[in-house]
Order: sequence, then structure tokens, then C-alpha cells
Amino acid sequence: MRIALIGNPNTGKSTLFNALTGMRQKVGNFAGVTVERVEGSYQTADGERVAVLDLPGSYSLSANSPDEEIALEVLLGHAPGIPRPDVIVVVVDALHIERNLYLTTQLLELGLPIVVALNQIDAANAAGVEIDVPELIHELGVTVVPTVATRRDGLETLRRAIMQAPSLPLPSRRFTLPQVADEALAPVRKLVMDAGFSANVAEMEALRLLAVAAPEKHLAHIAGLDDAVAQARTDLLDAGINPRGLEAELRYGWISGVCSRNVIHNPTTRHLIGDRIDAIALHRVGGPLVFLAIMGLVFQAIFSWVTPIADGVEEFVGTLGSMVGTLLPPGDLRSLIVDGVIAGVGSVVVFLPQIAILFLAIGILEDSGYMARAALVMDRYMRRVGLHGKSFIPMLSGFACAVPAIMSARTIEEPKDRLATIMVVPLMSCSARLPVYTLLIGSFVPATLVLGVFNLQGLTMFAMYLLGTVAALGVAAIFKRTLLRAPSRPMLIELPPYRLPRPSSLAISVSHRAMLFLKRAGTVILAVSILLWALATYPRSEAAPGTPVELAQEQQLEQSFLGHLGRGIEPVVRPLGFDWKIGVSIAASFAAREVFVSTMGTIYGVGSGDEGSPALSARLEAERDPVTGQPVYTTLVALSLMVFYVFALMCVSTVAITVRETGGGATGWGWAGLQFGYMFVLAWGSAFLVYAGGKALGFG
Amino acid sequence: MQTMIVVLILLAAAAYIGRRAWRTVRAGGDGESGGSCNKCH
Repeated sequence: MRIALIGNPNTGKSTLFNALTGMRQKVGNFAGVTVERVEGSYQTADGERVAVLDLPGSYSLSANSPDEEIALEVLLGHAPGIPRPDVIVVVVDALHIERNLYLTTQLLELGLPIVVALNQIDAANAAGVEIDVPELIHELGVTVVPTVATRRDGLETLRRAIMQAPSLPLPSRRFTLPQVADEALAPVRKLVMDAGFSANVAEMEALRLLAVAAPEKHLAHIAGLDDAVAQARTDLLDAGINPRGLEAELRYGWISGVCSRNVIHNPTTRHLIGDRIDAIALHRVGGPLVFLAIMGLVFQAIFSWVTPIADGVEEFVGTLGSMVGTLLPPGDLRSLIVDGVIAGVGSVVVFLPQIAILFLAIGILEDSGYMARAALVMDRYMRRVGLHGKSFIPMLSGFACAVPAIMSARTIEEPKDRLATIMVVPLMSCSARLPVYTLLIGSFVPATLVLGVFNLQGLTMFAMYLLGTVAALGVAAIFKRTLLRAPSRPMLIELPPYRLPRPSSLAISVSHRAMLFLKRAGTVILAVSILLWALATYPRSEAAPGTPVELAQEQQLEQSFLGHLGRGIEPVVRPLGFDWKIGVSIAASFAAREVFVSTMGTIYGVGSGDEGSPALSARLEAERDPVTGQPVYTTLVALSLMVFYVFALMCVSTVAITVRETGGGATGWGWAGLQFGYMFVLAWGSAFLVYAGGKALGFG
Repeated sequence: MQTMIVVLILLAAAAYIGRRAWRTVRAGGDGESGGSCNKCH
């Protein structure tokens, strides 16, 4: 038996899929599109194997996005290489049953056995929502099983209901069309039926086609369909009915009746408190201020609260370097381990506490239900620049990593909005920039108090994140008014109830992120550090007798492969106040942004000999120009460098994912090239303005 | 002996970076999952 799992996004569908299949799943793509295809299976008590296909989250079968189009094609048996399922399991979020039933009413008309999993019934009950399940079964004409996928409640009943579904009468449309609409749609229905679709499906398709721009792939071959739909729209307009809104009006009209009879909303204390918080968090003026205050607090936390732990980690890495230095005999191997590996990887690993705090803060904001409010507050600004409110979710994810953020832009239906979002997401400061900001701010921005409350270091960090966000909105506005001009649509977002974040789920998400960070340090950053060490160490050069040790090491570094490479890059970065060492570190960080820090660690490790590893920040502060004796790194250079990193697309993974998500091939490379190019110009220009402007004003 | 170990380590690092770079570039072109962000495979 084959079953398909379908439901609105955020209904716990994937959790139910994992619970049913025991997480034995195969992930791939549907043929020809970048829509993820997840399959698994389980065995019933009778030994029958049930194949489960997890369809992409869909609000309807209106085929508004690639995800919804694929779902419709699979359910109609028109997806290449995928047999039509025997049973549809529709996952309905009990708390938002009214909105979720829209998709269900469409599915009822497909002529396939259906089982409804009424999921998250516990959350609904806690929020004061009571549902009369036996009556709902009667109204829908299909089996309804209350479930709590996270606790595996109702799973066995659901499995039994799935096995019984094919032997029950097939569901069908639960409402009747007004006579005038029925007559207007009759020719469309006939054409669809003549093309081999069942009467049920033809009814569903005829009503659906009224609101779609053009028939999709599975209907495109039907001759005369466009004209028949256009005629039906004209007939309906003549009768005073809005054809595009007819389907929603009929379905929601029926759903509203069902819910008024079978769903009771009891006001709870939690609701009342939530409403009071929302009165401030969603206020026109208060909302943005609350958002800014919360983000400000997060960056204060990164600098002020983590210091003792961060100092401990830094001391540990320093001690490890000294210990290994004394254990190994002098030579290239010791230099590789101490100056390459420990100085390089160690200089990145010391930022683990800051990364953990950032993800703890993001986790708390998401779990508490505030993130959806932030999206709503920001929607106003997003619309002003011409972006869809849905773009804010990928942009927020961009604070973690641009790669999943760009992938999550798939939920945006309008292709030009989606492209504009993809083009600006990398401007949001990702967690890989955090080590760069922290190193520079920690070394060159004093920890003075501003207004007696704020730490200047935290404020500077906040300013960098704000700069990236404002730039993303500005660039999006330019794209939407030039290359990607299209009207923007209003956003519909579901506001989850406020709740206290669960420490266990926070611990899992923070430790998962910490492990990913350490894995990156142990793989990409380790390998790049080793190679850079070699480039900084060879060819060996002999210093003239009597040359001071420090000068000899500096000469060795300058005559190494890396030194020659750096001299080649230097003319490009010199106007920004950077020397060749910074230039090389920027170039190397294309592998991963944190590599900037590890490269600096390696360069200064090699440059100072292998007698131990004082903290990189101390080395940067002590660095002097060999000719003038002036400090190489000033607050102005640090600011210029940070501004460069806010804007520059120094990340090969982001380039690769942009190529893929913008169509691949020449088109994809074209968009990725444009993205890299405009970000580089923006980065270089802004860093130049900061440095040259600062110099002109007498700073640095 | 030390030189030999250093050379082996360098070769391993170069091979790792080369393989990763190739996979990333290929992933961008043919629609397979790619990218070095570990969250996404």
C-alpha cells in the first residue's frame, strides 16, 4: 500500500511522518524541480509494508507555488515516476482547524480514500479549543483520528484507520455550487472529464481553475480549456459573482458552518496574557521598538555575559598550544601543529560560547512565539521596499546561515519576490561572521558604558547586524524597482500562542549548532589552516647573520608563497586600510568566513615563531608597521574591515546554493555572479568610505 | 621522518579541500544538494 501525507506547513506533518516510519527515510528531489521528496515505510501488524510519501507543506491545491503544484500532480497520479497513492492522510492542526480544513475540502474531491489526522490536539485543548470529533467525522464523511505526533499518541489508531480507509465509501464534495456557477462551469468540467479525469476531479479542477492564471502541466494539453475557463469567468461576472473568489467563498462558507457547530473556543488565562503582550509587541510604534530592544539585548549578552566562559576557552587553547610546543621536538611538524592547527583552528574555536549564546537567543525567540510577531512587525517595512512579508522568514534565518535561508525562500510563490529575497539574504549577518566581528570588536572597541546601561562593544555588534539588515532592505528595493519588478502581495501569517520555551528543546538545538560549528572547525577550517601554514612557511629563507629573531621571522613570512600572494592582493585592499596579511585572510575566507580568523591565527602563529600561542587579539593589538612603528590595526581599520565583512559574499557555499536555487546552469551562475559582484562592490565601496572618511575626519 | 609526516598531512588537507570544492561547484550546476553548511546535508 502507498499513502501520501499532506498538510499545511507547521502542522507537525514531518513529526508524524517520523513517528510513522521510525525516521527511516529517503530524501531526494521530485523529477525536474527543486522540491524535496521524502519517502519512508512501515510494516503493519499483519506484515504488510506501507510506503509513505511526505508531500511538501501546502495551504491548498491551488498550485500557487512549486510545492503545491507537485502535491497536486502526485495526488492526481500525474507526477513522473510516482504511482498515485492508495490513501491520503491529511494532517490538520487542531488549533487552526478552520484554516487547515480548506485543503481538506479540496482533497475530499479527488476520489481517493482519506484519513484526517487531527494533530496537536493537546495544544488545542490547552488553548481552550474543544472539537467534537464524532460530529466532525459525520460532517467530513471520512475517518478523523486525534493525534499528538510528538508523543506518538493516536498512532496505532491512525495506522488501523489507514488500512480500513480503502474499504469505506469514497469521500466527495460537501457543499453544492450555486446553480448559475454550476451551469457556467459545466463546459470546463466536460473538457476535463473528456481528458480522462474522474467526475469528482473534474468538479474540483473546474472550480479551482477559476482562480489560477493558467492551467498547470497536467491540464495544459487539453485543447480549448483556456477559452472555456475564460467564458465561465465572463458568465459568472455577468451574474454578479466574483469568479476568482468563488472557490474560497464556497469552501470557507462551508468550513465556517462546520466549525461553528463542532468547535468551541473557551477563553483561557494564557490567551488573555498573550493578547496583552501582543498589544505592545504588535503595536505600530511599540512593536519595532520592542524588536530593536530584544535584538540589542541579544548582542549585549554576546559580549557582556559570555566573557568569563569565553576567557576560559581562550586560556585552554593557549595552554594546549604551549603544552604541545614543549612536548614535540623543534621542526616543521611542531610548527605545523602549533602555528598551523592550534593557532588556526584554536582561534576560531574560542568563539564557541558566543555562537552558543546567539543560537540560544534565536531558539528562545522562536520557541516563545515571538519570531512570528517579529515577522509581522517587519512586514510593513518589507512591503515598503516591495518585498513579500514571507521574505522576512528567510531573512531571519539568514542570521544563522545563508544556505538554509536561501533554500527556505522556496515558500515564496511569486518568482520575482523569491529571486529578490535570494539576492539579498547573504547581506544578513550569518553566524560565521560572528567570530570576525567578535575578534575585531573585542580587540579594538573599548568596553565603555553608553548611557550608563549599554556596552559600546555590544552596541557596535548590533550596529553591524543592523547595517546588514538595512542594506538588505535597500538592495531589495532597488531589485524590485528594476530587474525584478512585480506587484507585492499582503502577508498572511499564523501567530502561535506565547509559551515558555522548553529547556530540553533549547538544549538540543544549541548543542546541535555547537556541534556543527565544531565540525566545521575540525574539517574545512582545519584543512585550510594546514594549507595556509604550508604557504606561509615555504620556501624557507635564510636570514642574514645577526638579524633579530622577530625581523627574521617577518622576512621569512614575506618571502613565503603566502607573502608573494599577499603582495599581489595588497593593491586591491590597501585603499581600505588593510595590509597584505588581511588581504590574504579575506581571500582565504571564501572557503568559510571563519577562515579569516584562523588564517590570521596561522599568519601570526608563523610570524611569531613557535614558542607558544598568546591570544590572537593580543597579537593584533601589538602589531606594528616595521617602517613607521605605528600600530597596523586601529579602531578605524577594524571598523572598515567589519563593514567589508557585513557586505562581502565571502562564502563558496552561498554561491553554490544561489546557482542551484536560481535555476542552475548559465542562468544560475548569472544570478550568483551578479550577487557576488554587487556585494563585492558594496563591500569595497563602503569599507573605503569608512576608512577614507575616518582619515579625513582625523580618526585612526 | 617529520618531513614525511608533514608532507602526508599536507596532501590529505589538499585532497580534502579539492574534493569539497569540486562537490560544491558540481552541486551548484546539477541540482544536487550542496554547500558546506552542515545543516543541509
